[in-house]
Amino acid sequence: MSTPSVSVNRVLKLKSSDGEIFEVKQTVAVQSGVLKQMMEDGCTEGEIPLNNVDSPTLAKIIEWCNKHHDNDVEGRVLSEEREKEKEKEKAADMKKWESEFIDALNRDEIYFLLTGSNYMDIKELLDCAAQKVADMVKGKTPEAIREMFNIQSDFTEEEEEAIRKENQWAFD
Amino acid sequence: MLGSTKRTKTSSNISITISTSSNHQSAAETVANIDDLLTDILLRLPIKSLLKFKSVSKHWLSLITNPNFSLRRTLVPEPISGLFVHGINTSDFDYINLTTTNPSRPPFKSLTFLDSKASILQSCNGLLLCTSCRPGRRNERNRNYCVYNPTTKQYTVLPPFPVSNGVFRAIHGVNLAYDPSKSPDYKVICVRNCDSLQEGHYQIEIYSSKTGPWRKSGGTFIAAAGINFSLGVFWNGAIHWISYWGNNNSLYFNADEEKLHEMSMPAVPDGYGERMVRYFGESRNHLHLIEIYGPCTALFNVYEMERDYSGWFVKYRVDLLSVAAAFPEMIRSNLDPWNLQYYGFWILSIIREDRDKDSYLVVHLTKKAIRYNFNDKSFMKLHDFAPVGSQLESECTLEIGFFDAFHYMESLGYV
Repeated sequence: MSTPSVSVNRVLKLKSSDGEIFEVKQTVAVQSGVLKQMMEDGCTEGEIPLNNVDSPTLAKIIEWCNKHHDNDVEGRVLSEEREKEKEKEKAADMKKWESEFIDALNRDEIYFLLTGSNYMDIKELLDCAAQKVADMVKGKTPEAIREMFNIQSDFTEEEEEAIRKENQWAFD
Repeated sequence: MLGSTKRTKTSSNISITISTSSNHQSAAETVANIDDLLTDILLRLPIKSLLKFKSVSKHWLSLITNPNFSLRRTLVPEPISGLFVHGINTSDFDYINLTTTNPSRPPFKSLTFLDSKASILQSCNGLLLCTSCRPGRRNERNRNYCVYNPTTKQYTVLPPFPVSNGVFRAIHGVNLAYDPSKSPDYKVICVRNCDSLQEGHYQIEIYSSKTGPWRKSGGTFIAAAGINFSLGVFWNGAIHWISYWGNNNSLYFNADEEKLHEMSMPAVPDGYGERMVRYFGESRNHLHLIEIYGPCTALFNVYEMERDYSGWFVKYRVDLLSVAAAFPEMIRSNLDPWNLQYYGFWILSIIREDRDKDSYLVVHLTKKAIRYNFNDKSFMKLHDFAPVGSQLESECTLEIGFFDAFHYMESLGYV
């Protein structure tokens, strides 16, 4: 594997599905597995079209990546103990920032963020958004899930009854 | 980690398109149509939600019942949420709830397979090994064994044991080996007499959920007297059987390699011919042993085995004197204080938690079960047992038998 030729000052030009251009530092963009791969392959000249990500979503994704990048580069020499403490504090602050970030979004924005981070392969953001959706669906009934995701049941009445009966315990 | 899911490798050509979130599809639909993404969300849900969501659609059902899905889901150990205990003189089970935050109903009161009431032999990472006798035929040959998932309510009755030359070789123990973090398959390991029927000579036979029927594994082996093959404990990929006699080594059988090994035991104190084992069990991938010799039986150690079998070490020190002070009915005042039965209690289970300081012991006293926290030695009542029949009504009666508590943890394991 070749190491990506990342320079601090170089920027990538990302083009959202609705045609807006976003400039992102390469050092920030490596958080996306897909963009990292492209940098490794040396094909980041010009605009990079992201056909599945619209501009509001891309703006959110970049906000996330910038925040996580800032957190990484803050380098200071501290005693080992102090370093550990600092790490803990930083992790707690980041958790807080992440939950505020995700809680400020409406449902559709979360779904777009989820598909966007999946498409761009940004693992931490994907984890955060997937956990949020999991928390949203956790206590719901199958009917509510169908409504939420616009799913038509393809079971016959008998089949559905049989599955429910088998898993009766979960419905109590 | 739940999140460390393998994703479809995206090529360096970024403009590949998956079903787009444009015009005719809502954002929610897009999410539900990408299997990787939907699986990632489902993996984060409690089992109860998953069982409910099986009836959403055929697509959801297939994702949730995929063996690979349950394998990935078990990478984070499921907590032990309760204990099934066999009542004395009844085929019903008591259920001790261990989760204080969200107590659930007992998964079952009694078990019936093939028209007869069953008892539990072993609990192994969410699956139960059960046995029942065919009605009116109470001998070994007519015993059924089955593997049951109490969460999904599925069960499989194991095929009958092979009989050679019309002789039914005695069964000394049947044990379940199942580690969902390694494989969705399980094995049932049976120790029987060998063909020559020579005393002390044994043969292991295995049933595998993957390859089916009973088959012999390895040749016959000789075991020192005193090994109890019916109380096997699965840990570290192997079934462990303790020797109760003197300082004999114990045995374990690695279910993957199908090989027998010896395991050393703590020294039995002078003056005791027999090992006074009060508990032998597994929790959160730790193997525990409690032996109590006195002089005060309310004070004892919990041993844990090193992962490389290099020896037992003292993991916890337990002091039940404060428990006895709070529940004086535990003291059998008609006995001498140095008598091994002076304090009336059975150890039901050791429960290891994610954070070690939360780990605890479940102890059975007259009419109740107590939770004792190792870390700060605090204790609380967990459960009241239903009164036993009048014929057993005595102050010191314990409601359940020795070694008769079985872990319940939710599982998607396919049986």
